[in-house]
Amino acid sequence: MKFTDFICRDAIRANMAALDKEGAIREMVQSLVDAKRVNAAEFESIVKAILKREELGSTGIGRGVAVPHTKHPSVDRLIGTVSVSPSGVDFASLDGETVNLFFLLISPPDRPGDHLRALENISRQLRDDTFCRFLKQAKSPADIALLLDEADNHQFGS
Amino acid sequence: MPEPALKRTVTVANRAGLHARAAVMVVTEARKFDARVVIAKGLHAVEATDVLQVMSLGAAQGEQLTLEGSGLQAPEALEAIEHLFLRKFDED
Repeated sequence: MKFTDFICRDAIRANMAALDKEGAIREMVQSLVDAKRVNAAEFESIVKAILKREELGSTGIGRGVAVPHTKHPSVDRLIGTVSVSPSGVDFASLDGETVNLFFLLISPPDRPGDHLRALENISRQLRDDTFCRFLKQAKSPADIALLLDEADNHQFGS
Repeated sequence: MPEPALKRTVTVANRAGLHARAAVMVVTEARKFDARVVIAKGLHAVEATDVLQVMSLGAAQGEQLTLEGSGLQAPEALEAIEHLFLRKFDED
């Protein structure tokens, strides 16, 4: 699976304003609403579901990266977005560090395989320090989209 | 004399596979012990103490993984990690 298969271009953000977990999640889900990939009427329900998942254990997996996610019946295919926080967000991460790079995923309840493939892709690409660093330094959604394209085209190490 | 490395095969039994929370559980266990544990899916082998690496396996339900441990507490580490797979990461 490639980034282009699930990342919604119009929802990518390079300048997250939120400084806490809930704010960060709200901002990312709102970006999907603004991109018309999520119905505005489902906004609160999706935010609540993602926060509930975070209660089971933070998706802040270390190295300044978090992958907040949920299953939700309002989507018929896996969708996701990328946000960069220049200042960093306290996400109760595994390593205690703040998070600068977010991949948010929403998947249909009956498609665990797609979710797993997306996580596999994200984590494989992020193992490349250059890719990870460039993403965190990205100044615009276009920069982020370009980096994702380059990763999809194997411009970075696996 | 103990073998330099211990091996076990585990099967991913939970429906969701080795997703983020499950990967974090594996890593949390692996870090408790004075041991080096490598998890492999086929030829793709990763360090059990690194979440990104464990998630990058993309191990789905039904797939088999090899655990290879070395170091003082390798038996305990493998036992603990195997137990997570056996109890399906408390899911399903």
